[in-house]
Formats: sequence, C-alpha cells, structure tokens
Amino acid sequence: MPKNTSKKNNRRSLFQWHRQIGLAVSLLVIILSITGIFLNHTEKFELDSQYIKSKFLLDWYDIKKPTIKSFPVEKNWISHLGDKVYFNDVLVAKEISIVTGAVSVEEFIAVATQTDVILLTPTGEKIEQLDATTGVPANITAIGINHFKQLTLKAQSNIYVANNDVTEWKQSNDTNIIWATTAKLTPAIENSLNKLYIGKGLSKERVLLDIHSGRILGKAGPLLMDLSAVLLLVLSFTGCWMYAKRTWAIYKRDKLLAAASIGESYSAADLKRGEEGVILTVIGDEKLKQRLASMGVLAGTIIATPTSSVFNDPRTYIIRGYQLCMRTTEASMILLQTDTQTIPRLQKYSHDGCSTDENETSTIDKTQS
Amino acid sequence: MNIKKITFPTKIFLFLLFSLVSSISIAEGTYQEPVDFVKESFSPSTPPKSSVLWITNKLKPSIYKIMRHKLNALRIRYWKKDGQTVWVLNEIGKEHPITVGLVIKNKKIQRIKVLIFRESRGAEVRHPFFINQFKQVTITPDNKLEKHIDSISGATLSVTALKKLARLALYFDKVINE
Repeated sequence: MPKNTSKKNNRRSLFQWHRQIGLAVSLLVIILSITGIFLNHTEKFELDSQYIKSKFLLDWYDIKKPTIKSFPVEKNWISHLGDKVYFNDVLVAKEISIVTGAVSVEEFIAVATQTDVILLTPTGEKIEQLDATTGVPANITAIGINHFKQLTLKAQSNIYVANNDVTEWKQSNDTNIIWATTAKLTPAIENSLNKLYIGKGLSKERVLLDIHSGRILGKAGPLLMDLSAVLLLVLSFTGCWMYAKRTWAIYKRDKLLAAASIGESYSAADLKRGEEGVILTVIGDEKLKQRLASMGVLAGTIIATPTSSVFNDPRTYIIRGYQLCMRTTEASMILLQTDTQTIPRLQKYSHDGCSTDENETSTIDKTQS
Repeated sequence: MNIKKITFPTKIFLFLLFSLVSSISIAEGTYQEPVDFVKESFSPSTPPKSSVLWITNKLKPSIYKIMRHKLNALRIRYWKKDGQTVWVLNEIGKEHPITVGLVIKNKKIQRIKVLIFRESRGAEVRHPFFINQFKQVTITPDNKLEKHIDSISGATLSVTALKKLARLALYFDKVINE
C-alpha cells in the first residue's frame, strides 16, 4: 500500500511543481511573448524610428530631460547638460558633473567645473583640460576675470589668478573681479541641444529589445530571462509527462470499460478469498458511484476480501482499514486494475481485518507451496 | 513573519530579486591620483613645474597615425627634469577615457601605470603581468613600438588604448627632445 500512496503523491507533487513554476514564470512569459511579437514586426510598426518620451524610461536609461545651464561668452554660449559641455551646439567635453562658469579671456574661452578648467579656442576647439596635476585648485565655485583681464578662480573662498598662458595659478587678494553668471539660452540653440540630447536618444525598438532580453534590468536581467527560459523548458517536460500519463490511464480505463461491457472485466466480485486488488474505476449509475466514493471506494485504493460467505453474496471487503459489506452486483461495478489480475498480491489479514506488513514475495511462495 | 507562509512563486521572485541586486559589479576605479603619480615619479626630489607641448599642424599627421583619430586637445602638459619626462594622457578604450601615467627616460618607457579606469570591463590592463611588457620599450622611426605587446582576450580595446598612449608619449618625448 505505501508504494501506491507514494506513487500518487509523486503525481500530485509533479502537478504542484508544474503549477507553481507556471505561476512563477507566467509574467515573464507574457512579457517575452508580447515583446517577441512586436520585435518580429519592427519594420511594420516602425519601432526603430519612434522615440521614447516617457520620463521614467529616459531616467531608467539615464537620459535625463536636460536642465540646461548656460553661460554667455562673447557671442557664443557654453551650456551644460547632464554630463556634457557644449560650445553652442557642439560637444566639447564629456563626463562633467557640475559646471561652475565660463568666461572669455582674450584668445580663449575658459570653462570651470568643480575640479577642472577646460580651455577652448574662440571657435570652440578644445585646447586643454586642466586639473589638479597642473595646479588647478580643488572645489572651484566660480570663474571670472579680474581688471587685468586675467583668468580668476574662486575655490574654497580663496581667489586664484592664472598667468597669461594659464600654466600657473597664484593666490591673490584681488576683489575687483567680474564673475561668470548664467543666462537664458537663445531658443534656437536650446532647441537644437534638446534634439541632440534627447530627441533621438532612445528608440522603442531598443527598449523592446532590452525588455525581451532582460537587459533593461541591468546585468542580472539576461540571467533572469535565461532562468525563465529554463523553467519554461521544465514546464513543457512536466506538461508532456503528465499528459502522457493521463492519456495512458484513460486508454487503460477505456479498454477495461470496453471489456466490462462484454463481461470480461475484472472486478471486486472476482476476488477470491485472501486476494486484493487496486481499484481502477467505479462504473454504473451516478448514485451508486457517489455512495461508494463517499465510503472511500476511489481509484487507486486497495480492496481486499479476507472472508468468504456461503454464496459469496453478500461479501465483506476491506477498504482503507474498515470492513464494507456489498452485494455481488455492487462489487462487480468496482473495476480493478488488470495488471494485478495476473499476479495477485496476496496478504494475510489479522483478526481485526487490517493487513499485516508481510513480504510480498514470501506470501506468494507460501500460497504456491 | 512566518517563512512557511511565503508561497513558492513569491520565494522564486525573492530569489530572482536577490540575485539581481547581488550580481551588479563594476570594474571602474581610481588607482592613483594623477597628482600623486607625478610627485611619485620625481621623488624624493620635488616635481618640476609643468611644461606645455602645443599640438602644431606639423605634429598632427603623426598623432593621427598613432591615435587613428584627431587629438581632442591643442596642447599637452608634461613634466621634465633630469632628462626624464612624465606624461598623464587619456584615451577612450570603448566608451570612457582611461587615464594613464607614463615616465620616459632615454627614449624608453621607464614606468607606465593605469591611474583611472572608467570602463566597465578590461581593467586587467592595470596588472603588472601586462603593464610590465611596456618597460624599456622604445619606438621605431615610424613611431611604432619596437616590441610586440601581448594582448589580453576580453580587454582588447583597453590594450589598444594603452599601446596608443605608449606610442604617443614616446613620440611626444621624441618631439620635445629634438
């Protein structure tokens, strides 16, 4: 009996695994399917030429809507967007976190960040990016020009003045300094900067591809998708296995039902004294089926006959440890699995009617002898 | 909270979330501040004042041949003392610039060090097994390294950037000593 119960439990746990894995990956499968369909038809949907405007997605990709900080230098503009510095609409420096100002000094333009000074020609060509290695003071808060038209920096509330070539910096007590201030950018340059920065930054195709592959979640995203793919494989295997088992069981039952219809069935009524069988199904009218089911006569249950009666009608059967008295007409409705018909599993029963744990083969040997 | 009450799908979700958070790793880092590199290169004496090399039109074709692109600067800073020059140069590996410090003496690389690495991969180029290949290397008259440098698989672009910078520094050293 324990063998059969564990078989049933295995089947149940396989189904539970199937169901729970299915639940766990369902969301990912939905995402994969929908994005997959769209990606198969990117040209039709023109996804490669449409761009994302959602603030959340742009932030996720670190493409922020630019808050432009601009400084006028002569007739040109120095603008800071995100981590980039532009001369009008030409990119001059990247990976700049904060721009503290920009001024025009005779032959060049100087742009100050917190740590660096970027020198540009009047036409916006980069001359040099100066940093602490060339003596630029740290924590620059402002840039300006003094009354000698020299480049001046304010750092940690000290004033530093550069020589004419901007190769050296000296501390100074100068107070007559014009500091760089921000100003409102002209709409033409602002528009072109917005377009440059955000307009064609992120296509819908790119986002869909990243969702499909999982890369939208960073480095672990593809792993997540890989895992869901593996789980999907597991799902298809468990699904096929369960389907095959169920189909086989239905085939067996149908075969037996067909045999029952021509009187070749093997039912509980055919059990001899001391034999037992495993219930396959209960046939007959619904009322009888329900009544027997409520008493535990269910598929997979072991049924045994410990006794015999005068005309074998009615007879006592043992199901689930209790005794059930049935007429032969009712017992013949309980069909048993045929594989037990050829080699009956014999067991001795104690006086209280419960089966004892005796070795199967040894009992067979005893009956043979 | 009773752990047994957490359903299986929730457990899977929590596991995936945990693996997502724990797998984020970054290769970038500052290994030495350029200022410290310059100081160290001249120690125990104090470093000299920096000098400037202007990138004139005469130099541009050779620089283009070395770098395969225009140099994004019109002048380069260097430090020179007792026949030794020190350079702090930048070159993009794949997406971000790699800052490299180079010390050149007698037209040969005395020391080379990756100071700041900003790329997400390829940081292996900072290790001695690779970087030591550049020691005592010089350039040929057509500004190529006279010795073959073994690459690192998976860090090809960073290796290429370092080779370019080594050639560039040797070329600049040649120019200022002419």
